Amino acid sequence: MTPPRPARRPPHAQSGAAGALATSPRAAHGRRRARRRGGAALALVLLPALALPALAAAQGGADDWAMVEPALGVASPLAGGFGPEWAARPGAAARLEAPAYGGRARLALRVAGYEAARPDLPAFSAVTALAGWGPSVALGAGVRGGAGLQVGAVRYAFDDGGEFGGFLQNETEAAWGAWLRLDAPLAGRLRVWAEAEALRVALADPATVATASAGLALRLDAPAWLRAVLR
Amino acid sequence: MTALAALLVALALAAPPRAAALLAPPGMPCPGGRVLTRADLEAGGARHLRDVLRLAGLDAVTVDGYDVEPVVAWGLPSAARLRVLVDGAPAAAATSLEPAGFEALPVALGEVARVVVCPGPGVAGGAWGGPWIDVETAPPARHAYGAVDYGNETGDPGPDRYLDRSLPNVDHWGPDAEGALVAPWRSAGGGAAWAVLREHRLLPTDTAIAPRVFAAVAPDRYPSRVLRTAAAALDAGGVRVRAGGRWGDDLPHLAELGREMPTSRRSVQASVSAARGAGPVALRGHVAAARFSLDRPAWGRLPAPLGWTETRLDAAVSARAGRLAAGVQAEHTAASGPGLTDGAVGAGRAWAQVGRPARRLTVQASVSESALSVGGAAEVARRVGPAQLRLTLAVDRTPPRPGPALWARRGYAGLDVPGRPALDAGPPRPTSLALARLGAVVERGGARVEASVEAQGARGPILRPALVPGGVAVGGAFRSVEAEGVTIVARAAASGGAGWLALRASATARGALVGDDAFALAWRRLPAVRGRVEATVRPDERLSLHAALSAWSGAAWTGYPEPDVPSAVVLNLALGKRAWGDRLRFAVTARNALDARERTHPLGAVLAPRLFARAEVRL
Repeated sequence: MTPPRPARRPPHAQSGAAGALATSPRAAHGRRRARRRGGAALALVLLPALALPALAAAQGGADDWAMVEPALGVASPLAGGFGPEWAARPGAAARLEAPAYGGRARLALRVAGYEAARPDLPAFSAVTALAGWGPSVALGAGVRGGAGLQVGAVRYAFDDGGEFGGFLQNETEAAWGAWLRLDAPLAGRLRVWAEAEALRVALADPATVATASAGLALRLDAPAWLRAVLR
Repeated sequence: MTALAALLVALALAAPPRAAALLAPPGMPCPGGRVLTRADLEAGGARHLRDVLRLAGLDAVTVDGYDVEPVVAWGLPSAARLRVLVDGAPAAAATSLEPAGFEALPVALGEVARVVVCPGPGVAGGAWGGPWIDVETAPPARHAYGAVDYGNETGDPGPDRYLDRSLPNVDHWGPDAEGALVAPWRSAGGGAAWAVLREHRLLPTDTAIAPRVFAAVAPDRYPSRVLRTAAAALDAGGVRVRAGGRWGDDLPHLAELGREMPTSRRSVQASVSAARGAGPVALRGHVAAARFSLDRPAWGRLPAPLGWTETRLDAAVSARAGRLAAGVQAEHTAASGPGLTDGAVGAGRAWAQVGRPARRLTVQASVSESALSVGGAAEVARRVGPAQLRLTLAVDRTPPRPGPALWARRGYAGLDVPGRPALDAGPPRPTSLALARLGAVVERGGARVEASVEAQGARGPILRPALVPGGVAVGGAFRSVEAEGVTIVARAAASGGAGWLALRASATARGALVGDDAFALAWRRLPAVRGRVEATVRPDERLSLHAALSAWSGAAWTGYPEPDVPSAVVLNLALGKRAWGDRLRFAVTARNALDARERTHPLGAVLAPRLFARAEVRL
């Protein structure tokens, strides 16, 4: 939280990396309105995220935390995000899920890289960590569908190395959004999954990042000690 | 004043003996107060001591989001300080030069058993007086406790949001942590000893603050507040011993300077408090001592020498037997610093109380270097239908409290910056108060409705900014002026719920009724209207969900460059989950989720949406 204090931002950076995640400069009131919309969206996500587990608690029961499902896969940022100045590269996605309070609780981690399209901009990597909850329904033939809400943070690490004034270095932003997923049995406890996700990131000018991901998941019975811990 | 004192006595004596006590919630030691239990703090997503003020619904002002100073409207807003106690003994949060930020107490959040907030008047910490808050601690766990937080203290939505484009980007996200080791033992009375350590960090680089703090620190260093606190406590046989220390690099905002001051800080304090019964007599007492030192750090660029040391002593003893109670309390402050000719300030108080809560009379005489004063209160309660009514009449006169104005008048030059006009302290003036409050409580089942209206007449000094040409507060001088007037305050609160749901709503409206310009100015710094609605849902014993919607009207700090502080509607959310029995707890907290313009001081930060994750372990 207290990195070495860099030199003042050089003038050349003001239209370069300065605009990295803030995109182009806008009038202050326009930014303000955009942030208000972002705040309202955060509330819209968080209020149900708080209320739904309460409503679903009555449905929770013996299945809660009875199973854990680690998952790995590849993730590819889709449209939106940070504009044409950066090209997104496929990244990795990891997830841990368990039945809880009538739905599924989960922790998700995603790593993606962004290459700069201009030499005066730094490349950066984005690490996203999220916690969420949502209902899961059986669609037949072992196929399950799920959706939910999640909240967390994105950490951006810039590859500026002092070349761009050394002032950006890293930046962490709150993020919230929703996901939609299908998964199906592949063999035994192994399942294949695909997921689409939209994430709103609280940048100076809020950005929406859409991501598609797919991979494999392993359904495991939670050991008694783990169930005891989680309950 | 004499007539009012006579009226107090008459009312106390004339009250019918069958008058019912104005019932307080279970465990509440004062009428009209509020108790926050550890469960309340956890459900509300508290992660710092300063969150107590928010959850208690108190008026508070912050410049950087770290020092959150409660505003006590006891006569004149900010003229008196909230009496802060830890386990019934006075606790020193900061020197008399600084804001009395709640965060500075040598207490870890994890050892807070409950917090009692009382509007006063009443006896607390060995003396009678205005509002107080008592932080009651208990061993935080059987053997060990630890908590780690990660979040953005003041909000940080991306590059260019907070920092001017000529300033460097600063990531505001980071960890805070606290931990404790506990040694319980079994003896006749039981007991435990424990030690806590916490570290909190803040980067005060909001756009509103950054130009001041960047100019005040060396160019190769980030402006930061990194403070560590250690404390140890012993609880055995009705005796509580606490000792604590705090040290680190700091950047407190000094109101009388209108800017942040780079500071190297060290402090130690200790208190011993005890309660004993001797036949029909219940005895209580405490001894507390604190020593602070503030020095100009090597990384500071302001030429002010600072060089401040301050030692405080406080002792009290009281006895209660049936309907009678009495006590004495004494305090002494000894300070030293550049130019200070006389750093001693002391006061002694003796009080006596007769009656029960339903009909009680309290008188207090206090003596200081500058004045001998008498104060007291009469309280009578009566049941009228389903309501229990309580009338409180009080008068109080407090000597000038030690602060920058008093020290400047005695020659202290440690805050002087060349070229900046000196603080115009004026002669020391006491603050006088006369208060009349009528309160009502109705309880039905698990629901409780409270309402009160009070009138406060006050005369005392307030600080007004007297800005230098150019109109900026930074570098401008303040001057002490006398204010006089009468204000009206109305409060209402309702609470209730089922086993899995707790609801509470509260509202306050207030304003100066009559008075001079300075009096009106002082009250306009507080929102005239404030409301709060909160709900806590506990679907099971291990999960809690909390939402609180707070709203307040705008305020005006006349004399500041941008005097208007906006109105706001702030939504705070929290989710907490226990696991592994009660050994683990995870919490996610969102503050200002609606992205309101959350600002309480004209020189202060706009606190953006904040998100925190917290993990606790109790073993």
